[in-house]
Amino acid sequence: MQDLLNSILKDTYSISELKHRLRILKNYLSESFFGGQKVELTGVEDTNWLKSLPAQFFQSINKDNIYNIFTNLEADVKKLTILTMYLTFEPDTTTISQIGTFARKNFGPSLLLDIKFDPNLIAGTALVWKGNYQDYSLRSKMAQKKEEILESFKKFLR
Amino acid sequence: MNIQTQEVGYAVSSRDFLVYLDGLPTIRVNDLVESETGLRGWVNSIFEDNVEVLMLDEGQVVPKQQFKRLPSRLGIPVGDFLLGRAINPLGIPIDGKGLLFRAKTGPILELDQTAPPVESRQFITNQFLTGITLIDTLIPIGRGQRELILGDAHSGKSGFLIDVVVNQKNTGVICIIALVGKPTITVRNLIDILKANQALSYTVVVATSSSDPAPLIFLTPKTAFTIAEYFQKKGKDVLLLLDDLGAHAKIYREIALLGNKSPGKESYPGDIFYQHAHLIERAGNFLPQAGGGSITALPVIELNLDDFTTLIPTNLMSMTDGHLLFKSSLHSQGQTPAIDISLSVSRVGRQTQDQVSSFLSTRIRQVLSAAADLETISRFSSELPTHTQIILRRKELILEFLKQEPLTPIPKQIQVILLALPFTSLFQDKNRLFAEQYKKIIIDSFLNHPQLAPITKSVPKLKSDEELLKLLEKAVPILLKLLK
Amino acid sequence: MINLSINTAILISAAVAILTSLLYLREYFLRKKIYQSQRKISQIKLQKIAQLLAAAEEAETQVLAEGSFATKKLLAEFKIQLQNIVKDSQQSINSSQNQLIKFMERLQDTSARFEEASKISGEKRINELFERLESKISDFLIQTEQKTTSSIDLELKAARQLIETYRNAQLKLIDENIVAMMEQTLNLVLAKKLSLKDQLDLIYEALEKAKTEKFIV
Repeated sequence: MQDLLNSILKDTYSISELKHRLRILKNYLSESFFGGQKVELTGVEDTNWLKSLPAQFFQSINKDNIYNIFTNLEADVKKLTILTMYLTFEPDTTTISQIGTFARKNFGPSLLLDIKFDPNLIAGTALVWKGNYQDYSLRSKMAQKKEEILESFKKFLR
Repeated sequence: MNIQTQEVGYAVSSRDFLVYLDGLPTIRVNDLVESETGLRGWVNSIFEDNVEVLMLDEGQVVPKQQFKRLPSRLGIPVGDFLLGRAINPLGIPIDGKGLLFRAKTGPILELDQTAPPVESRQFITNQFLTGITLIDTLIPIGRGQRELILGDAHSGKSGFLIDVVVNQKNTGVICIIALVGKPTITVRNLIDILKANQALSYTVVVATSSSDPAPLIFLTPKTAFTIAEYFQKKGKDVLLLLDDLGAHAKIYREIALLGNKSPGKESYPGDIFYQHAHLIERAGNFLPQAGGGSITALPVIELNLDDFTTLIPTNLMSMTDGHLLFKSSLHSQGQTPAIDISLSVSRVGRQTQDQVSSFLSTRIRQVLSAAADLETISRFSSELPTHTQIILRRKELILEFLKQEPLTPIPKQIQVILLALPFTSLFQDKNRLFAEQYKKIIIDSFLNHPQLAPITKSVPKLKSDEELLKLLEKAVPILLKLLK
Repeated sequence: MINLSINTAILISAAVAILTSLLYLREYFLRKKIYQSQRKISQIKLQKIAQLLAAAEEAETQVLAEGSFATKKLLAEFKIQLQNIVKDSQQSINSSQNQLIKFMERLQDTSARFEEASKISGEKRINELFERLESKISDFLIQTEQKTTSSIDLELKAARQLIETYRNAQLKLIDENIVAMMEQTLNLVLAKKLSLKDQLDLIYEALEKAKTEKFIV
């Protein structure tokens, strides 16, 4: 189980992406085992990803244990540690993977990110870890250095 | 550059006014949280992996919405500026008279306090005078007692409560009225009536209308008790009216059922007894070390009189020191207050009554019970022996004197005199119509007539009802002259 | 029968006639006696009356004589007494007149002296009054002047302070506005201008800081 999850996690950095991939994997597998109508896969990226999964991955799954495996996978997913980040822009997949690699280098290989959008942070990011919210963005820096900023600004007056 | 971290949680699921959040690592019950959109709620219970929050403001909660933890807990600012105002359970004024004036910020008391223990309470010795003859003589209430008011609809309970509040003018008693989920127009009417009778200056009204969110309605009695405790700790005597606890129980049932708690008897949750008991226990008579003062609680419950063995009334009857039973049938017969004397009881009041009143009330109860027995006989026989006639006539006279119009207080000495008059020779041959006609004149003359006023003044010094009857016999000739 | 009765009737009437005549004679003699006795009595009365009259006359003349003598004596006495009284009263009148004249002279003297003295003291007092009044008015004026100046000073100070606080509050507001404006401008600008690389750098910086502060373990 853990191997399955780890192999999926290797290049999945955000939780929404993880859930999405699990869903299409389940669809594909149940389709291949049980037949039924061919559902259109969403996008080229997903097919590429499915193709990139190693062969042994698919060997360990068969008709009987598919549902078991997926229930266990979902339970494991719930136990994963998640770092929530508030960004000022909507990042694309490559950006996410860049940030994700960096985060995993510092904090652990199975860290997952939850990216949220908050434009009020002028630049940078705010982090939420285990229910604690810490603002590392430019907004908070400016709030701290309000006095100095004001001083230097006033030099421009008159 | 270490800035303060703030605890946050994300909405996992929501159902109407119940929201479940994850995160919030060090949250405690009764802390306040606020969503990104400014909706506030308070933490009701904590589960293994999420926190149950009851929303105080109405609005939509989106999944994964961020909730910040606020530094304050569930409480209200208290102070003397509350007198004469009407507020909602969060301390926000609803009477349109502007913000509560605070010279310096008053202390913020938490709504959930534990009731004071046994060692800070005192024996109840003072009587709580309501100004209503029937209560003060026959079913006396003491300061610090909890007396349940039971009744069916339209039996005059709310009018009775207003009377009690208005009759506390100039006695130094602070009145707190909690209206739980009543229509807004009722709240408005109450405030207007109190203002018209100059009773607003010593009253605080805590009200929620039936359109407010259920968690807000649920908090009303807690707020009322918190305010009462503030005044009690300053040494004052406080009267607390809770109208009505049946609606409070229904709201709590709604909240519990929505939160998937297992329903118990009549679908009420298992801790409904605790919810009422821990509130009612905050009333009582306290020792000077605990602030002196007393809180007299009069919870109200409306029920169907054919069956008052349902859960909530029986719970409340076991929590309180007695009950007053209002009947709409008596109300439509014209008896005000419409209290059934034989079914009402006050378990603590007897020890607070002075001797004359207690002897007199024993006598009256004897007459009433004897008359009840004899009434069945009287329906059959056309000619009754004189003894029976006297008892029946006395009972009629007593009931006539017990009737009291709303908003007409009668001072204690006059009450005692009025109820002793049927036992004197003056009324031996007079009937109920006579009493009805001349009641007001009798009261006025005992207050103002130069020969009768000294009798009124000497009533508190008497030791037994025999002395009182002797005194009144002496006054009979003067009265006869006045009533011609 | 009828003759009997007539005879009895005649007898009876004769008897009655005899009786009445006897009675009449008796009456007549009685009356005469009474008349004679009465005349005797009246004669005696007349004699007594005459005697009384004579005695009364004698007494009357005696009394008259005595009376005239007494009146003459009284008159003489009265004359003497009157004269004495008149002399006495004249004397007393003269003496009292003299006394009165002396008293009047004294009064005149004292009143003249009194007038002069009062004139002098009156003048003195008026002068004193004026002096006191002047001094009091000057004091009062000085005091009010001081009070008004000090109160005006206080007012000025209070007003200045109010203006100061207002100014400070306004300046603070303006400062906050500046900061807010700057934040917003930066927001807009940076969102457009910061390249992806810069954003990522900032994010990495934040993550590293979190690590050093042990925010994320």
